[in-house]
Formats: sequence, structure tokens, C-alpha cells
Amino acid sequence: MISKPNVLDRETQVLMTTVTFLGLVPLTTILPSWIMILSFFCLALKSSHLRFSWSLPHPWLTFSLSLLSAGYFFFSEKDFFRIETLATLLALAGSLNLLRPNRYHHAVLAIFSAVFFLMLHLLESRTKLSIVLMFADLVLILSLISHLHIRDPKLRGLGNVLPSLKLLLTAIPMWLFMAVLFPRVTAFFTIAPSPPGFEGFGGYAESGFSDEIRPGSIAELTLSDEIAFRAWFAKDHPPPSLANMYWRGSVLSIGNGLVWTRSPKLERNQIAIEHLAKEWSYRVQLAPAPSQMGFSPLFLLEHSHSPLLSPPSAAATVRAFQGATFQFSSEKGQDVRYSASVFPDSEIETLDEKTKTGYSRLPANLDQRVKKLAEQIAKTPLPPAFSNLSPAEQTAQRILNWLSDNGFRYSLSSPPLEARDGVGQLSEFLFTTKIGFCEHYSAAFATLMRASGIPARIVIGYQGAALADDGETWVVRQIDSHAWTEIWIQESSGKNNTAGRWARIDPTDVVAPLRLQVGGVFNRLSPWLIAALQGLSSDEARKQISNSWVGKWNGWLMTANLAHTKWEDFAAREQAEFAILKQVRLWHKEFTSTAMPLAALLAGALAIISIALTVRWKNSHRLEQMDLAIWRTFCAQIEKQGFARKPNEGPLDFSRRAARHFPQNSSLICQIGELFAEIHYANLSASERALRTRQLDQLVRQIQRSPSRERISTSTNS
Amino acid sequence: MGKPTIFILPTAFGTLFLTCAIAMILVGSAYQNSLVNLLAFFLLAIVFLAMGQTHDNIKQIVVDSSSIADGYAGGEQTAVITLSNLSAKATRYQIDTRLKRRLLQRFSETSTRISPKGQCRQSLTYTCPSRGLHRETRVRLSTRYPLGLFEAWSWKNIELPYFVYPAPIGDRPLPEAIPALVDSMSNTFEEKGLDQEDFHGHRIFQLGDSERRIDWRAFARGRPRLVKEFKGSHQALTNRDLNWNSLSDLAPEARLSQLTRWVELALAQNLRFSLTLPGVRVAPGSGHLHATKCLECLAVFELPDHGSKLP
Repeated sequence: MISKPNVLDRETQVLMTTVTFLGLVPLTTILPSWIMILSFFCLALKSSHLRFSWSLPHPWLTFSLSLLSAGYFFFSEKDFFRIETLATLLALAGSLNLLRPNRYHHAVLAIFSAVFFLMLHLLESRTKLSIVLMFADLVLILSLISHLHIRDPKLRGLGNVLPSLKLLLTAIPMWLFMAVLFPRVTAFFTIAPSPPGFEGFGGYAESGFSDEIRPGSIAELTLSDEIAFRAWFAKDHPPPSLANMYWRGSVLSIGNGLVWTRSPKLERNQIAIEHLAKEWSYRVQLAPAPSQMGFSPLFLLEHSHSPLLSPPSAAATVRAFQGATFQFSSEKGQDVRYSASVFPDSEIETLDEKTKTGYSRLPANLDQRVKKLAEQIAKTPLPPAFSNLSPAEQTAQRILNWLSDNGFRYSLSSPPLEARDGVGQLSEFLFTTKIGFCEHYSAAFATLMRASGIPARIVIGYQGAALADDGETWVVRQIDSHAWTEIWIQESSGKNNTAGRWARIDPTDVVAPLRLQVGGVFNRLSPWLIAALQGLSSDEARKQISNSWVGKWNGWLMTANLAHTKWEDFAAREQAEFAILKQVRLWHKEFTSTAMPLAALLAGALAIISIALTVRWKNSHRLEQMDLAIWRTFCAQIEKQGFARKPNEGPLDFSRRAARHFPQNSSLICQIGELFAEIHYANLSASERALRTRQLDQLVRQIQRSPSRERISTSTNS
Repeated sequence: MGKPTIFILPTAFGTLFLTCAIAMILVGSAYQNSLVNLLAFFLLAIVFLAMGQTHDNIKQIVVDSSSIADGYAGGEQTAVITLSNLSAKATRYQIDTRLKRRLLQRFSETSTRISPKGQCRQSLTYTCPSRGLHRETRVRLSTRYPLGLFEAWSWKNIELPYFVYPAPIGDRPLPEAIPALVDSMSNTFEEKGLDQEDFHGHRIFQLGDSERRIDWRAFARGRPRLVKEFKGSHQALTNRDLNWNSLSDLAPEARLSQLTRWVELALAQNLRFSLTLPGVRVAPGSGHLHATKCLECLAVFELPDHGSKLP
């Protein structure tokens, strides 16, 4: 191609070396030391080649060096699925690349390895210095790129950094535009939420549960397509219906109107986890979400006081609390995988009087209207069908009826509430706006239950899931975030009876039954589609939704995600036991005793041959280069006097012309031209050639030293 | 005249660069690393900017004039194309030129920039097509400036006829000289001899000219080597007929090649010659114009498409 240079010029090589150096330096902390030593050795060789015209090692030496280091890398690396491994390989390729002949594709390799070095560095460190380094590196990389492709001498040269800087600055508006726009449709390849302190950087939506809800907090979560976790059900344990798929996360027991928080007091008692021996009803892969004290909620299906859990992995710790919440933390924020079995018909437990009071506490400044409302609701009659329910359940039913009869509406975008505190917001929601999301309804419902004297609490987690194409992976996304309530149902009406059970009541069911039947995707449907779905059975509704574009988009997301899951599964399995590598290591161990000396011998022989080749090649190479270098010095010398060689002029023509132009030095100039032509074009033996080259060198030095040099300049001036 | 269509596609390097940027976006979102995303978006932004710049770099470039010298089949042909930058503000860089469907094109003279309202000349060397009267109709202007990520190109229409003569191959000697038909005067000229011929003028020295006829005085005054020409010089009296029929043992194309070779030789030696082809005869003559006429006849000989278009 026209634009591609065949051989790179010196400036391009300088840029290549600088860019590689700048990329490698910040990686010193994550790369193995032998790689660093090798890389800097290569860099030093290249720099001395550029600075002092030392020749590079013989291609065979470079080749055997690559072979040896690749072999060593293969045997020494224990884990092939880490970023550090990629970095090691890249560093190896990038630095050995410098020792190779300088062709276009070597420069391309240098460009891309520099870009990836930069990326690896940014994955490791997030300091202000990294950003500065990134800009500096980008400017140099751009210079290298334009250097490779621009022929105009005025735009080349090291001053070329300025256009690159300009280009980079012009790119900023477009970059900002993309950085703001893009995250809204991305982040579906991940299950890891942003690390703490980095939410919102670059326009990212905050994700993950915190330990409280307030109006809008869950609605905001449902804006994200991000994956929360994945689950697989055991073959003999069919998954519950979608409408009953509640993934419990945290329990919030301190109610303050619409704002609910966790109660450290009620969750104080840590309880023992019963470990699952073999059977499991489902398996979950979960990434930690940022949370207090480094612990994240562990999501379990249904409420169960004592689920059976298998330990997720050695790196993770799990703790369970009274109130049936589970938390885990893992090293380095890795994903955890755990299996669990739960018993949907929650078992009987006991609640002492103190705890019961804790679960019935109302905020001190609760609006009197809310208390009156609770009393008023308690008096409303119930249809006879509900007469066999426990008193607590009857109260719950009355409140649900009241909600459905009083024009409450479900909406993701509820009108902003004017009150600043949760209590005021509750009154505003109940008596004025009447539009809310699951957090509004669960908070209002739990508060009304407590006002009626029944212990109640809010549970946050996820409701629903989407089945991926493979038919077995259930994907739970942030879009499925949900809040619901649990009420305490006493076993018998006896005064001192502490036995009872927690029952799940979801007030959202009253205002948006479809939300529970179709899952979180409901929150993305257009109002007219929702209207069209009214009155359909849940199966039909689901079918309709999967035909809509929202459903198609979701399907695509699932497919893309499934591929990712498969890869992660593979990587996780292989990470534990990389079969091929294990085999190789076995051989390695077996043969070490006999093969080691042999390998050492072979490597030694290879090294000696390569060095011998290099020395020979270096000598011949140096001589070849030498005469040309001397000739170029001479031409430059003449050119400084304002007499340039024409591109089509051979050495003889040029020296003759120059001799005519500088009569004082004519014989010397002619001699140099003839000598160079002889060395360069005649077929001389090596010794003769060395002799002539030395002569040429002397002649050129003579012309540099000669007093007639001044005369040369005067003759051009006159 | 409508605006010419400009095409643009990423180069191999550009595709690699774009892939790298997209891979980086995936890595950035998989690791939720905003700095990696930032880097990836910068790379993307650069790709988009470079696309615009490459496209703009070829706007308002027109082919001003172009010329192609006649050549020999199988030899090298040089087209000289002058490009004009119509823009009053922007400098254009690294515009490459290509002729449509011509093999092995390379620049013998490249230009790297065209200043606003400026011009640049590019000479393009390529292998000559087969003999005949050819016409270059389209020229492709392309550029990869500034980063080589994209190549933008557009086609310009040109009208450029030129002859390609048969390849001058053949080792037969020139035909014998036959005395010219103007016999009545020939004797008197013979008697006068060389020295008495009338001096007619100078022409540039050519290989094969006698050294005795060089005007050494003029050369001493610093002028190039000139040859004195005389009216009715001796050679003018003889004629060599380069005849198609005399080469009956050769294939038609080989005959044409041999005839071309003869024309070349005769021109170099400044001989007087005529050309006889079936159905075509070029009367005796000498000099460049005459030779060109003969060569053109040879170029289009028995090529029905071109015969009628002879200028």
C-alpha cells in the first residue's frame, strides 16, 4: 500500500520505544520480576541501538529468547485466567517486538500493546497520576500513529506531538457525549456493581442495595439492566412460579414513615448456619454489592429461619442473623457461588416480647391521621370468606382492601413528595398523592400494620427472574428489585404464647398484580401495553410482552448474558483444575530429574550458537552500515554548506558536482565519492572492505578538520 | 456539476483499532472500571474524528490537467496529473492518485501537501497496456490522512488519449538504402561534396550523429552539443523502405515489433525512411514528427476499434 512505509525511520522507532517504556513502567507492580528484567533489557538494547547505533541481537537470538521465555511463562504460570497473565504475555510480546526488524506491522504491534498496557494499568490503579499518565501516553501513541502514516516532513518530526495533542483535545467533547450516553445501554455484561466511591463516575447509575429504603430508592435501581445474580434450580426441585419467586435480601425493621432502615439491635444475634450436605434445591452465583462493613446481603428464596446453605467458597465468609438475613463477604470482591435449600412453608419460630415490641415500634412523631386511619380500617367489615383467617391476617386484608378501594396507583415515576422527613412523606403519600412504587406501598402497609398492633417488617430483595435461552439459568437483574412486607402471625391467641411465624404479604399485588406475574420487566412497559395486558392471564401477558420490543431487547440481553455465563463457568472450573496444565505439570515433575540437565545443555548450546551468530552478523552488519553512515555524514557536511545532493544523484555524480562547487577541496571530495562507490558497489572481500572503510572514514574526518572548511563556506557565500 | 461522491472505509489498521476500542469498552464494563471506559471512549472519539478528517481531506480536490506521453507496449508509462485544491482555507495532505484498471502503479513524483488554492503535480508510472490508441477516463484520488484509520476516495473523470506503440523488438538489420527518386539533381550534389552543402541550421546532438558535424565552436561557448544540418544532406537522397512484406516469415505482431524497432533505429541515426503496411503507406521522410506518424500507424494497425479514431 502507498501509505505504509516498508522500513521504519529512526523517529518512529524512538516513539515506539518511548511508548513501550511508558506503558511498561506502571506495570512493574503487577508483572513478575523476570518479565520486568527481560523487558527493560530489551528496552535498553533498543535504546542503545538508537542512540549509539549498536546493532540489535541476531534474529536467532531474539527468537530463542522468545521461545525460552514463552516456555518459562507456560510452566511458571499457575492461573491462566487472570489479568496479570494477559499483562505478562503482552509485556513479553511488546518488549521482544522492539528487537525485531522494523517493519510496519511491528509498529502496529507496538501501538496496540501500548494501548493495552495502558488499559491494564488503569484496571489496577485509579489515582490522579493514572489519568495524567493516560493522557501523556495517548498523546505519544497518537504521535506514533500519525508518524507511521504521514509523509509530509513538516508534520513529522518530534514536534508532531502538538497535532496529536490538538486531536486529543478536539476529541474531548465527543468523548464526554459518549461517556454520558453510553452507560445507559451498557453494563449488561457484568454482575459486579461499581466499586464504592466510584458510583456515578462517568455517568454510571448507582447499583446495589443499601441498608435503607426511601421514596425512589428502589425505583432508581430498577432503571438498570445490570445483572444481580444467576440461579439454577435442581432438576428434582422445580422453581416456584414467577409470581412467587421472592429473593430475600435484607430486612428493614426500623420504620420512620416512608423511610425504613435495618435495625442492628434486632439483628444482633448471630445464628449458626446449617450446612447443606449434598442436596440443594437451587444454586446461585452472586457478586458482592457494596455494603457496610464489607458484607453484602445473600439472597435466598422465601423466608426461612434455617435454610440449609453450602459454604460458598473458601474465600467467602457467610453469617446469618436473627431475623433470617444472611450476609457474606468475599476476598477481593470475587463472586460467590452457593447452594441452598429452603422450606417455603416457613416454620414455626418464637419471638420474645422484647423483640416483638421492636417489630411493632412506631415513629414517635407519627401523624395522628395515620393512627386514626388504622383504627378506621380496623372497623371496616370483611367478607365472610376471610373469617377463618387469623386476626393478623384479617387486619392485613382490611388494609389491602382499603388500598385497592381508595384510588392508589402504581408508578415508577411517582410525583416528588414535598415533606423532608419520612413521616411527613408517608402522610403525603397516603392522603394526597396516592401514587407510588413498591417501596411506598410496603412502607405504608408495614406502618399501618404496626399502628394496628401487629409486628411487621419490610424485606428488600428481588422479585421475579428471567429464564435464559438455555432453559435452566434464571437471571435476576436490578430491574427485578422489589420491597415487600412480612407480618408476624401468632400461633394461638394465648397471652404468653411466643410461637408464631412470619408471613409474606406483598401490598404491591393490590395495585399492580401484573408486576408480580411478569417480573421486573413490567417496569419497562409502555402505559398502552400495560393497558392492553389488563385482564389477560399471566401466561398470555408474558407472551405479549416477549413479542413487544421491550421483550425482544430483554431476550437479546439474556442470550448475550448466557454466553458470558458459560464462559465464566468454564473459567471458574478451569481455574480450579486446568486439566491440560495439570497433566503437563505432572510430566514436568516426572521428567525434571532426567530432563533438566538435558534442557540446560540444550539451552546453553542454543545460547552459544546464537551469540556466535550474533557476533558474526554484527561484524558484517556493522561494516555494511559503517560505509553508509560515513557517507551520510559526509553528505550532511556538504549539505550544511548549502549544497544538497539530489535524490537521483549517485555518489560519483554528486562528488564531481561538489568538487566543482568547492574547488579548494575538489580532490578530496572526488576521492571520497570514488572510494565510497567502490566500497558500496564493488564486490570486495571483507578485509579489503574494512580497510577501504577506514580510509573513507579518515578522508571524511580530514574534510571535517581541514582549515579549508572555512573556505568552503566563504566560497558559497560569495 | 454535482458534488462528486466520496467513499470511505476503514483500513485494516483502522478495523483493528476500532476492535481494540470495542474490546476495551467490554473490559471496562465487565470490570466496572470507569477509567478504562474513559480510555475506550477516547479511542472511539478519535476514530470518529479521524473519519471526519479523512473525509474532509479529499473534498474540493479536482483534477486540473493531465497528460500522458506515448509509450511502448510492455514498457513503462508515465501519467502526469495536476491536482488543484479549490478550498481557500484548508491545506490538503497526502492525496494519492491512481488510474482506473492500470497495473503496478507507483509514484515517481509524490506530493505531500496542497496548500489552499494551490496545485500539485503527481507523476504516476505504470506498466503500459497493449498497443493501440488508449484512453484514460477515470482517476481515483484517495487519502488516508491523518491517522491511516480510514481511506477516503473519489473518482474523477478525465479524457486522456495516448498511443502505445508495439514493443520495439527484433534484431534484423535495417533494410538497404535505395536511392531516392529525385535523380536529376543527385549528381550535382555528389560533386559538390559535403563541404559545399548549404548550412541550414542546428539541431540537438543525437546518438549516431557523426562527430565531425558537431558544432564544436558553439559547444566551447557553453551551449549544448549541436549538430549542423545542411540542406539536402547526403542521407536525404536515399530512402529505406520499412516494408511489412519483407518480413513475411514472422508473425503479425512480431512484424510490427520489428518495424517499430527499425523506426527507432532510423530515427536515432537520422535516416530517411518510409513505411509500408498493407493498406497504409507513409511517404519517405525523417525526423521526429515523421517517426511519430509511423509509430502511430504501427500502434493502431489492424485494430478496427481505433482505426477510425485516429487524430
